[in-house]
Amino acid sequence: MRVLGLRPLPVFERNAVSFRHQWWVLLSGVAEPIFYLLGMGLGLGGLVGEVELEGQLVSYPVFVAAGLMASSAMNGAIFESTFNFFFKMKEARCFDAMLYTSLRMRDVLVGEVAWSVARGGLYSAMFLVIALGFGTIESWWAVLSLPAAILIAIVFSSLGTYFTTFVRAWADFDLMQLAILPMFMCSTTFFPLSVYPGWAHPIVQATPLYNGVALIRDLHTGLLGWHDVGHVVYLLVMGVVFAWLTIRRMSNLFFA
Amino acid sequence: MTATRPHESTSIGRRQPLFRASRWAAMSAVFLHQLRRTRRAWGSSLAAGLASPTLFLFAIGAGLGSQIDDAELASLGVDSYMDYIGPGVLVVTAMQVAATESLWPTMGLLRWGGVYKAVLATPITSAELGVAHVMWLGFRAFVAGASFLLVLALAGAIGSWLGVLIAAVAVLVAWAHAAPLVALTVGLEQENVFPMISRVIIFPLFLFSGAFFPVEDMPSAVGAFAKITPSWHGVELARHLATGDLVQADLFHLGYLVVFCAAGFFLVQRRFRKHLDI
Repeated sequence: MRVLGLRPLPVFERNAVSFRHQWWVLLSGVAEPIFYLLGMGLGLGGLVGEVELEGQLVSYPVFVAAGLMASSAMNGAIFESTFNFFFKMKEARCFDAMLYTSLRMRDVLVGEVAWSVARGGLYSAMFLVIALGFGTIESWWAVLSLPAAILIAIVFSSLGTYFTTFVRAWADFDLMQLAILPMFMCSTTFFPLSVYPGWAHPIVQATPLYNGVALIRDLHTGLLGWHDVGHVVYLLVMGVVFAWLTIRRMSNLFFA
Repeated sequence: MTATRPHESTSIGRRQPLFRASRWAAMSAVFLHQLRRTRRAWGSSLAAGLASPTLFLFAIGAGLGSQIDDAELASLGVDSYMDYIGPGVLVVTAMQVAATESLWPTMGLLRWGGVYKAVLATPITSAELGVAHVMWLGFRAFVAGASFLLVLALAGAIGSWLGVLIAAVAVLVAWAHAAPLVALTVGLEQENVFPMISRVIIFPLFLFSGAFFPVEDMPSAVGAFAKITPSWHGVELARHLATGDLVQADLFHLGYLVVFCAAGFFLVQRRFRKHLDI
């Protein structure tokens, strides 16, 4: 553990071990996107038929499955990096205990963020297998949708952790829900960008989830373009910036 | 309760007739206490409660609805998809509010916070407490439902004055779900089954009770199952009330809900006596 890069490992391990008697709670988080796929994709899909994506018609289940895979990465990462992170920080005082060991603040944070990324990645991976079973994957590029989902999870883990450092009480999380739910519903998860009036396009396109959904959708359908490089860069920059901000803020909170 | 002193009348194992003034006084005391206890959170819980159904109404109803062509809408019997889902979203939201409140918050009142332990130290009986608590959850669903009904009316999704009655349907559906879940919660020591109930029971009921698409569009076995859920009966009833085109089947929907609620209240009383009386 003295090796520099492995220092956050015990933090990750602690989180994994804490779920050993409740692994079914962990795994059942994938139920929600699957029910959405069944309800919206297959149930409502019969009414919707096909939607237009970059000039081509895509069947609705294919369209919505990509959105749901990106959202499951977001939901897993956000849940872990907000509610659970807050509980560990304020109620269980886990971080105070960890900092009494040889761990540094950044080790604790990297371990925590890695764990929430793993949770988001787990849901996306499970969802990808299910989507494959439902036949909503149309291209071999979809292999890359898992790394893309992990990138989304990194963005939302660092965003979620940064937000949580400002949270005073549980009620403050209502604010987060007020941002996450609209983003989940409106980041072209369920309907294409063309539905919005022109002035709303930049607003939707500025959200991190939109970039993730668009990237994964292009990978699932194989309709890739240069704009996908833009999505990747956007997500990378956002992840790095918020991870850096969080480390700075947490160091101030705990050591100032 | 005449000759007993208060501490002796905590009514362990005692049964009283349902229609007795002291019972109703006891239940309204619990109800009023809840109203007072939660008064500070009303603003934010109302906003949070309205945000979710309003979002579903506009994102799914108007946004996704724009992708559904007129022929499909005609087969649903509506001009706009938003009008189709509006009343249904209200009903399943009332279901979701009441069902979620039956889990963690109810456990909190019964075990963690000790509020209901204090209530049981008064002359209020366990059965009265159970009924009053479920009634209270129905009231919460009523507030959520009635305020969303206003949103629906402003969005033009309610075509008839009979639509006012949808708020009452929301209460019945809330009771039908809250009662069995509260009956379950009172017997639990730990909350670890709650995430499972919320993910595998409540959320599927939200999506598959016919609010978003007809249950006939699902595989026949799933559709048949959906038709025995009280939430489906509530959704159908609410949709007919919104347009004002009532059919004979609505009487059956109403009867089904009433019977389901009555059975639920009966169950709650039994379980509260069993688990809270010493």
